[in-house]
Amino acid sequence: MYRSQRLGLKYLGASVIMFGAMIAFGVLSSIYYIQPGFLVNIFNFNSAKIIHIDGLVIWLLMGFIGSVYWFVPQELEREVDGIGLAELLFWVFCAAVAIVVLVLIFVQYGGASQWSMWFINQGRKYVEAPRWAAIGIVVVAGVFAYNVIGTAVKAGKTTGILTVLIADLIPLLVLYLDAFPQLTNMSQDLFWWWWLVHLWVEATWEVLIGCIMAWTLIHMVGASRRVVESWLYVQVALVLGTGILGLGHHYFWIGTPRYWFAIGGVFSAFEPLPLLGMVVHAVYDAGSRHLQAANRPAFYWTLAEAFGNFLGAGVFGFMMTLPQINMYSHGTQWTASHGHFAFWGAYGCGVIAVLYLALEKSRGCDGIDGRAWKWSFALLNLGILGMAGALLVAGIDQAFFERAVGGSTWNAYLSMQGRPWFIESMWARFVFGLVFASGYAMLVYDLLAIGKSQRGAIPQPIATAGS
Amino acid sequence: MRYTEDPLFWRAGAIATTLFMSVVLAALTIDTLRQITPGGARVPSYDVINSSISYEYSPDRGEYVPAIGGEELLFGHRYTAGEAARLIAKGKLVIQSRACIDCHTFFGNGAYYAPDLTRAWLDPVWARYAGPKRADRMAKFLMDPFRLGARPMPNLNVQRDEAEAAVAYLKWMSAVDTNGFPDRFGAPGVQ
Amino acid sequence: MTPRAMVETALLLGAFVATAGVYGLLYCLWRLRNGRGLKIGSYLSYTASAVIAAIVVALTPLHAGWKVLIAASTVGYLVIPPFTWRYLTRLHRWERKSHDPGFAKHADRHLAHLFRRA
Repeated sequence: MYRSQRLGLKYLGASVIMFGAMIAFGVLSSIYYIQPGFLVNIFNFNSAKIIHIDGLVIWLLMGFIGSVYWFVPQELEREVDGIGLAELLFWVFCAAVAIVVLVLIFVQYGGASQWSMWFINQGRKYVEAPRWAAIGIVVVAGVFAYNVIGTAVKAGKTTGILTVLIADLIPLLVLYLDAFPQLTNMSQDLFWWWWLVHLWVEATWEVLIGCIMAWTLIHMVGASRRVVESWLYVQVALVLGTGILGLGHHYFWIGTPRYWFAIGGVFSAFEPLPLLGMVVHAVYDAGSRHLQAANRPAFYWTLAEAFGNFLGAGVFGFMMTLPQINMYSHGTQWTASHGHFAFWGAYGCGVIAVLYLALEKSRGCDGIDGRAWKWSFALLNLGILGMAGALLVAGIDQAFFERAVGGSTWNAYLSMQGRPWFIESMWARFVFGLVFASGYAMLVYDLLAIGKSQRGAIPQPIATAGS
Repeated sequence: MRYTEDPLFWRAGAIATTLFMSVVLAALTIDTLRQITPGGARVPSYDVINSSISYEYSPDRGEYVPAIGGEELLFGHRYTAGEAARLIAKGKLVIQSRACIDCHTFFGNGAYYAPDLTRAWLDPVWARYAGPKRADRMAKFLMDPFRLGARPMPNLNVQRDEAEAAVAYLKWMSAVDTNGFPDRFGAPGVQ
Repeated sequence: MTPRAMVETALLLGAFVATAGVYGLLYCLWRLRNGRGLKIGSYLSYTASAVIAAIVVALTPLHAGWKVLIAASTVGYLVIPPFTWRYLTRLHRWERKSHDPGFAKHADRHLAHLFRRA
């Protein structure tokens, strides 16, 4: 196994731990809604939520980084350039995440000063981590980019998939620079912030997961490189063709000009179309192989990725994207419903697929199967469906009563939060959150065990070529 | 082989599409940033905190629009442009340092655990107070939140100067033209 | 737009895309298994999607431009599954042929270069 692949496994392992932290703080966050006054002035809702949503970003980023470190040496048939530095930075990254989380738990916030921005909490959604940590992320990401690009340069060659990845990494990293500014004008702040968030999750991350899924298909089912590369180019054209100007669907209400209604609405309305294409591709691949694959969990999680992406991002997004609807759905649990489902479908499932693929190869198995992965698959997907459904009911209730009828005043908000359907939805979300958490527990058990026993795998001696 | 079966056709398509959309986005960005600079039609200058602000229905636009009226001082002080800019910059720092956006929403962006603050300055809860009185009551609330409903706001150790800055920020923000969001805020007959 | 119309329109829009997705799925399954039931199911799903789009156009208070967009989208959702399927089958067929030694002589220069690069 290449050193880069061992590093990839470390990143994937760290991503699973962060996934667990995200879930723990997510379940905690859901309790605040059903238990008024829960932990007030001890550990407020915003502290729990920050760790939940930042944990989401970190676990997925670690999963992506781990996946790339796993695939790149196989792609170029050589060790990754600068791997020693990357290995060191992995531990620095983990330590930085741990420190940031501990500060967010035990210090939580500071005064209105640059000290707070630098060392405690920057207070901008998804990028609350203090500036020193943001600099650390830039360094880690910069070395990661150097590892990938440098290896291609040293190898004197590249491939279609790798070229797309490299071209995608550059804007992905540059966009992160929005984690630093502290702008007074909220319109301007949010304008640039959405460049980071949207052009990550609805553009550059889509291309990145596309590259990772392309490699997954090659290594999981022996898909033809030419076929997956062609498909990747089609997907990049459609996803970026709709997603770049689809950014405008975040510019309806933040003080920006009205032409964003037309631009954002039209392009984001087209965003589900490439996702339907992905569903067709997934069914084609699955059907042409008669739903058989040596690594069954990786195969099924790859299928879940295509369907989850279409449903969570496509269907749930389309429901609320037109301005006349969005005026009322904006900033309600409806948004949270779409967000939870979309992140899971578009990215969570894909990272888990790679986890299983990497474990199969690293444990020297020729295919893996078992019972536990089916339970975790069912519980995790049932959990997310339940949470998204519960939040949808709460969100529609909120959009109707708080926004459309009540005019979004404090009183409209607070009285709406006490409505029976809302409260019941919050309880349902909590319960399905526990279902999701139990699916995670089963996933961890399976990841630790699968491939190690006779029953689940056909262990093969690990090849030592390429070290 | 048809050209549609050639991967390089699709690669060219991906590059061309991305470049074209990026150029359009860049052009729109330049225009948008110009339009949201404080002092323009969409985003008021920071010294709007010296004026009264209301939110009224515009028949021409078919939506609610902020309206800036006559003098209504904040905390009994007429701020110069520079003072207002510094005060509001501090207000933004307060909002970030306490991570308000992780409970509340601003222009509908943030977390959904607490009310939207886009027009908080104009909220009917404070409507019985006018001008400096309203600002003072809001500042006192931030320093020592009283329970408004089932969901209590925590005490985030906001000092007086920080509270005044945050209130100034909320007053300025309530005057930003957000294309009618939130709809019917504080309208007559709407609770 | 009344509050009720807002909710109804949103649910219709979600159902429009969801039924288009079901059509895509059933279309693919029909092409894989050739079952008459699957063919009928795919047609019915698309019909449902188109009917929902028609309801949105006719009965919801969306502005005219958005109604045109929805109508145009029905064409997109109709053609994407068959076009994608045809593209994938042709791509795989070409891939299988290219492994035939006799075929390589006739391969496009760009594609041969691509293979060497990979």
